[in-house]
Amino acid sequence: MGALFSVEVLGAFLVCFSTLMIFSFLYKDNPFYKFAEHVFVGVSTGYGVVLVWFQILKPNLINRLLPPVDAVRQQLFRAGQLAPEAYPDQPVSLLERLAHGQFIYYVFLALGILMLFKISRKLHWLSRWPLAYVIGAFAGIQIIQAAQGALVPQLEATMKDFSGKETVVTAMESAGVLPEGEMGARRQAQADWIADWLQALGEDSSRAAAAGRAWQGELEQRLNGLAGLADIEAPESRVREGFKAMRVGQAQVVGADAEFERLLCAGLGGTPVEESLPVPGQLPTEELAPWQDRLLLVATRVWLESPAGRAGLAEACGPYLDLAPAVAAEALAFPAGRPPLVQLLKSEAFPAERQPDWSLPVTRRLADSLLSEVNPRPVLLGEWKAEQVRNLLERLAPLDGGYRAELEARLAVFAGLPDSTRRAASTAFLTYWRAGVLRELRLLRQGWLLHTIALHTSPDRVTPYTRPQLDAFRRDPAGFLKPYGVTGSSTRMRVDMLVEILSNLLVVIGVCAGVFYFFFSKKHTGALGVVSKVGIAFLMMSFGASFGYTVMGRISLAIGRFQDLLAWPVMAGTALLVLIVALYLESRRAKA
Amino acid sequence: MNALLRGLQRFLALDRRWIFLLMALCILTPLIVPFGLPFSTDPAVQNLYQAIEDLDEGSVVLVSCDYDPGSKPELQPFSEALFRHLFRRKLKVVVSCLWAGAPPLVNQAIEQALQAEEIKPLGLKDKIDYVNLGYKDGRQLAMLGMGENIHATFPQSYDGTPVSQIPLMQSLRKLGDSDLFVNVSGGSPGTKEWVETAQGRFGLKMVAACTAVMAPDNIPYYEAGQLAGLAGGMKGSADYEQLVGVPGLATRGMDAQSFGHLLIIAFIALGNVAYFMTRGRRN
Repeated sequence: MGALFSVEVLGAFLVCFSTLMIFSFLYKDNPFYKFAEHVFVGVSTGYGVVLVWFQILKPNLINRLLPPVDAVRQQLFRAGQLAPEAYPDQPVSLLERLAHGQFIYYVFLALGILMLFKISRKLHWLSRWPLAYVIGAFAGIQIIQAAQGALVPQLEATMKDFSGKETVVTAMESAGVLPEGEMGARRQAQADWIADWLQALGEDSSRAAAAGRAWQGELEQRLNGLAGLADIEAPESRVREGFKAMRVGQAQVVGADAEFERLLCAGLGGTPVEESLPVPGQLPTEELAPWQDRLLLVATRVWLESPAGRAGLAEACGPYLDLAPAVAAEALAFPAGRPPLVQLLKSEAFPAERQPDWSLPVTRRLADSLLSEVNPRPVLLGEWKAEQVRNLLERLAPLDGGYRAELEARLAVFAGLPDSTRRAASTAFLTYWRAGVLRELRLLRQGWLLHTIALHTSPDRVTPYTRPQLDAFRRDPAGFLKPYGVTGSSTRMRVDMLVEILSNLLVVIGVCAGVFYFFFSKKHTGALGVVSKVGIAFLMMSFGASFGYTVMGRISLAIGRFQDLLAWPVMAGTALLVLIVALYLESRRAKA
Repeated sequence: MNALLRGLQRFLALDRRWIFLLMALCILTPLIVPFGLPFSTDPAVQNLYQAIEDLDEGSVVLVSCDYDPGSKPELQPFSEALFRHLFRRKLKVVVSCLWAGAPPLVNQAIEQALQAEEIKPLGLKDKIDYVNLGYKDGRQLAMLGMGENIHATFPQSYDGTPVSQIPLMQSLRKLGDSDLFVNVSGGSPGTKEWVETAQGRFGLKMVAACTAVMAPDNIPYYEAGQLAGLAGGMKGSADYEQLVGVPGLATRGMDAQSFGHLLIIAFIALGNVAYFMTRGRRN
């Protein structure tokens, strides 16, 4: 019995009954509706007042004019006028609080008070001052807002390419793959685009795999699926070339990376880093020689594609020691890379104060640059604190990159350091290096391709959106990738183009005719009359579309209310019955 | 023929309360007995979904929830699916509100997302993985303030924690620091103001969900590329729920929505037929 009359039950009944009382207006105006309406207005007003006080006036005005006691204590503490032990019990008088207020807010208080003079017949003009301030401020904001946020971008968006090419390219770009039906124009443009796409895929996979195994496993899996599509029909030779380039690139990458890794492991001897720490001189440089150029090229290329790198190697080399230890590591550790970089660093392009101290060992400079990179402050290696290392390690994900062993070995030459510090530093270095390379890769124009392939083919990332596409891909891989406009029906292509062109024309006609309708300096007769009629037809259509959305919104609100009622079906049913009986009794009373 | 015309005349004079009753039945019946009518996903919502999918793990997403209980049926399902999606993708989520009624709804949506089976094991922590900054008055001024310095605009979170003590906020100092900006908008200030005031000025990658009434106003922003994705009304929320794979209140409301629309279309068609057929007779 107690549960029957609990607060929850009562609350649910009130919610249902109030909702139904409001709905009862649809039947006819009645006292129950009026009661619910008044309650709603009253509660809303009360809620609004509380909200304005606690969310607006108190934090934004009152607390700034009359800071809370704690805030004053904090200010005193920061100013050194309050001892830590006295902090909790320090009495703060009202005068002290006023003295610590922000006096500029009295101006805003005064402006707010002036607004209240609106109700005075004699002094109502004073209320114009705050209004002028508000209107002026918002006008200033709105002017920039209108130009920067609406006018220019919207104008740009109306400058459309009537050929339909823009739509095709956008569709392909947003699709990431080439699903049937997304394309529709210009065979050559498509063929070129697809060729570039595939070629870039090959290049990217090459870079990614060369940069480490971060992407390799994933890419290999995805590309195997794609490269196996021997039966792709592509009449355009450029497309075939593109596929070929992609497959060749993939083969090179997979083979080269495995070979490189084998050599690297052989050079390090597979010995744990903690027990025997090889130095760069012990690396099998002769065997690795064929790879040096490639390695240096890859590292430098990847890094030079950053905005800083684009300014030129000479300019970038100075910051590199501070900002890009990976490139410095690659360049300085390999004989082939060291001379040109050192030469550049010593050139006149660098002011004397930027010249590195060449008396220090190379590794020490690298260590310094590494630490200044992973820590915002320039911290010397010896001062690296264990706590910072632990925090860093917690933050950074474990690594499995292909260069881990090699880089660990290089970093391990930091003589005289405890193993734990060394490991922490090398892990930090590797993480930073790997993250940097990946970030740059992602910034590449084709970076999204890798993601799209992963999205479409990885089973653990299949979503309802990608599932149909993945199914289509599995069912008919060749058909899925087959560019419709190149190999498909030309009729369909023409229809797509026609629809696109018509759509663009309609926009232009609609906008022009609509504008002419609002041109009132000349009577709407003759040609202007016809154009105006077209304009009003477009306006009616656009209003109709807006009205459709409004209807959808209103029905959604009704659905929401019904969903609320159905959350407590028994209460809703009871409330409905009570309301029907009450309405019946009230109607009888009114008749009598 | 006369009988038909008389019937049509009676239809024209139909008491509007019958229409209300029919509409109520059309909405209520599918809610009680779902039909599961199919519906296709809007490309604009797909793009919204894709914009989130494209983010790297650990990216910071700033969500501005600008709505109140009045828009709850349309937007709360979106918010619930959104937080679930963001948490699942292991993104860092910062929520701000320019509507006073929004913060409790935000907490509700976040709590619901955290209770999801796939989210629980992630062990997400308040202030580290997500934070609700609460409400700020000032409309466009607040937007501009956030563009310059979020810490100054929101000195503390909704539960009163100083923003300087929130680890998550150390990587988000201004709007431009976010990797994606999501606006869930029930009116003004909302998507229009965010796009015009902040999107271009601070170079935000922005997506939005709005009520159906606002959707026509916001579509031009999507078409112009100012919005990378857009979900309009309950249909947009249902589309998004489908994409995220968490069918909820919006998806369940789609049957009712469809039946409601069918009823309105039927009445408009019948009303026009009746009007034109009985025009001469009435004259």
